[in-house]
Amino acid sequence: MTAAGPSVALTRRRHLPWAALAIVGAAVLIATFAGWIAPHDPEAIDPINAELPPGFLEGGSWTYPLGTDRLGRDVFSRILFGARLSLGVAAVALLIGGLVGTALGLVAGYRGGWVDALVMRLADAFLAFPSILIALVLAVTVGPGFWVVALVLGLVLWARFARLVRGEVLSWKVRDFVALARVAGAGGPYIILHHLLPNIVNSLVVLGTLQVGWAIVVEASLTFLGAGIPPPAPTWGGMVAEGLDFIESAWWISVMPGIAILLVVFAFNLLGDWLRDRLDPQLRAV
Amino acid sequence: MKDIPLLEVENLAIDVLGERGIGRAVDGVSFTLRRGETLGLIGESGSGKSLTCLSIMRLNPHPGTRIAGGSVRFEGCDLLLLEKEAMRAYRGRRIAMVLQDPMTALNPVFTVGDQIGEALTLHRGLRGAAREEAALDLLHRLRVPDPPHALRSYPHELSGGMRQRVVSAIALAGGPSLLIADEPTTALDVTVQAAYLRLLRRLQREAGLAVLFVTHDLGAIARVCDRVAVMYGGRIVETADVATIFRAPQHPYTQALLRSLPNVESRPERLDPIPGQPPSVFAPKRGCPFAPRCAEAVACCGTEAPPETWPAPDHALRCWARMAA
Amino acid sequence: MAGPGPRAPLLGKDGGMTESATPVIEAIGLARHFPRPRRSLLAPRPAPMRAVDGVSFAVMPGRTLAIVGESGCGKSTTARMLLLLERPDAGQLRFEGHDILRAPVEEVRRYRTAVQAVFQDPWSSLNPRMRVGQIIGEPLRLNTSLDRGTIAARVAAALEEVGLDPALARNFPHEFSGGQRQRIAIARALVTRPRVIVLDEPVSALDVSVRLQVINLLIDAQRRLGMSYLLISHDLATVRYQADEIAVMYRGLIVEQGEAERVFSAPLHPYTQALLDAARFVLPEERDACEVAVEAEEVAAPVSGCRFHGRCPLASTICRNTEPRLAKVAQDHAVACHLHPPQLEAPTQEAA
Repeated sequence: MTAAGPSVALTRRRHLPWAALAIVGAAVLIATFAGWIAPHDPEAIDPINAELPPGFLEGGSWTYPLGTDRLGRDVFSRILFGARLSLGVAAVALLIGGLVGTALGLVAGYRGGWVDALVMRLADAFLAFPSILIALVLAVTVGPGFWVVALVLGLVLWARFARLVRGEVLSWKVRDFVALARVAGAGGPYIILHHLLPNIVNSLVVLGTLQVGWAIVVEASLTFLGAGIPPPAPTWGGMVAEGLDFIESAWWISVMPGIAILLVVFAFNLLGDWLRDRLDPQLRAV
Repeated sequence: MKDIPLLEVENLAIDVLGERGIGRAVDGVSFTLRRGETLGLIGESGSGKSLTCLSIMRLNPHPGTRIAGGSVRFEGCDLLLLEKEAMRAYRGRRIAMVLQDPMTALNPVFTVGDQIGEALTLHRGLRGAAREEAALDLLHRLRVPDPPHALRSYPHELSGGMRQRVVSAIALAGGPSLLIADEPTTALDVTVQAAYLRLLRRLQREAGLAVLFVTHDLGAIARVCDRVAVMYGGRIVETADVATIFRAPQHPYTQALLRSLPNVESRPERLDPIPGQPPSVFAPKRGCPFAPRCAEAVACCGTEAPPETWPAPDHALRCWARMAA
Repeated sequence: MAGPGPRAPLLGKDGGMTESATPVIEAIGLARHFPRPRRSLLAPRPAPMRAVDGVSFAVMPGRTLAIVGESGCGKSTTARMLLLLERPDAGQLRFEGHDILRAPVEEVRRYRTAVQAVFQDPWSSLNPRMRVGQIIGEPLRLNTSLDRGTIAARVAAALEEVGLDPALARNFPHEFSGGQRQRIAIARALVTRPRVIVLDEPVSALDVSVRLQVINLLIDAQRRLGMSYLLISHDLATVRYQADEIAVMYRGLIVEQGEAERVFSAPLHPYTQALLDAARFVLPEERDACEVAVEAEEVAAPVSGCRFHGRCPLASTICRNTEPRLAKVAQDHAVACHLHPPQLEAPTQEAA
């Protein structure tokens, strides 16, 4: 007859996701200060010390805490610099895709009619194309690189943002306070900027956080396939690709960057989920 | 047989669990309902009336609310002590419920016939032709025009008033002896509401149905109830038969409420509102819940909850100010 | 404080709707049709839904005109047309000698400053991300060139006028109760000193014991500031308490119109009578005696004749064939019903 106590959901919302926050925070710090933290130059080739195991295994030393790859480069330092590349690509892609997508979504949702139809069909088209394919084509024609990857990711992200923003606009624009703003003489741009956008920001933050993980994984996949950021850049995906040939003998070359991807993506997703729980019900309550 | 109460709620207490802590939404509520009688439960938001209704059927949201004490005796049996399976046997068959919004009470992808039929199959084991006939009979009793056509219709093809009648038909399908109606007419137009209330009264007489009618609308109470219990801040402050409540109410809240209602039949000079607002569920409970807004509050109103007194045999009251008189 | 008292006098001396008093807003033959979707590409286009089918009324200075009716009658659409939130398909909306629907931008701007609104849902009427002070000050920021200090002062004054502490301007809407939010909405509507405020079911969503507080607040503000109200409501009891004039709408048309007390004490249209009968307090002893006067509602409107004839107990042949026109039966009372032929030669309304 009696409930056990306040619901689990309420408890979860109240407490910060410490682990996720710590990992995300660490990733951002590492990306920024990799140059100061890394013990070695990530691109320094040292054939004598090739394929050394990590420090905690037999035969390894703590000079190279996570071991070295086939060219003797320190895996740990490469992972640190890889964070800069992965997060950097994700940030740029989110910036491009987010800005373009939000702007188009706002206009499409508010204006409706043919503008809405046009933007949405465009978004559908962009979402329909497999990003990997586009990236490969671009890599072949233009050449692989940081900006190619960021562009490809941005091309997909804008459509996701546009869809989300348009949906939110549709639900917010029928609220009475928007009508009252029109009654008070506000025009379209004013309403979009002052009434709609502030209420949509929360969803944008949530989507952005969740897409970081996606961007990192896609970048890693593209680099893995050779269409991303080319060697000798220490991207996580590239490191996984390079280490595949040695997976039985020097497994750490692939597995360490793999774990890095796993941890960071997982942390961002947890953070995004928590943000969604935290921010949405508040909105619904008002 | 009318003397044995059909429903006896005694000291029912229900807690609401929220982010701000635990609030006692229903604070020791007691009332009885006799067979074939309509008891109105009137109160505003935060009075706890809806939660009381749901708890009688043990449908209070879980988690989020919990029954903290009291008993709900239906035909002598305490529903709060039953096993889940046993409780389910009561729902629909012996106690039924009608809620405020008929549109969300009906499934939009099934026809009216399917939905009434489902209740008939579940509670009376009817199928096929017998089921259809029973459905038609229910719609006929609820004065739905062109029942065969209504059976084939989908909810969105019907008007609001008709939907509410369909919902009522589903509720009555199992032949319950108690119908709990939680704001059944609030979402309806006023002429539709009047027609529905008339119908409810007729049904009640024909079937000997007891009705627990919960609302904030005093007009609806006047049209359909035999007795009225007035709820405020989780407590029942006054219970009496409907004529007494309207002509000679005793509790300051009831009196103030009636005084603050405009009447469509005359234009008063000025009406006096009750100052302040209804209390939050999470506010600490000390003394009479109405004390902060009561013009006649005396010293102990704020500290001690008034006990139940009986100015007349069938008239219960909780008020310090009236006791002094 | 003195109550509403006798009806606020008009500019003319003989009370009622005098010809000499100038309306603040005059609606003439307003109509709004909504297209209905086709069943299939080949099916003929169905007739549009005539939400508002030609209504005319005048909002007089300092008075409250109430438009009442049940769901689907078009009263909310009419209010939205007056607020320029919906574009009428026909008719005129006259303000200060101009038809606002065809006027230059400057006139429209003046209109917007002069006409404000309060809507039904206190939870949807305030932007959850804006502070209360910003919400109330917005009409001033949009329409005037007052500096921030002046606006802040006006906002504080507005809050006091509605019985709230001016220091609350810093708070966000979710920190307030429903009744307080509606007061904030009213403060916002008052801050530009408009000439007309459209009130769309202003208290329906509030607790019963709080409703009267807000209604009295509106009445007091009107006495003090002299603006007109266009009150949309389905609650006839509060309308009787608040309104000077009343128009009863049914399925897009006004079926009865006039001085509120006249219409309430002597309703002529069968629908008005049904509304009043349904709205009144029925004492327990008389409730089993009163019988159904009006049939339950239908979904589709009749194809010809009076829109109410399907439900009218007094319908006759002419009612089924010809649509009655709204015509005056007295100086301050008009009705659209074949049972009450026109008594005066005053102009009647046209159905669009």
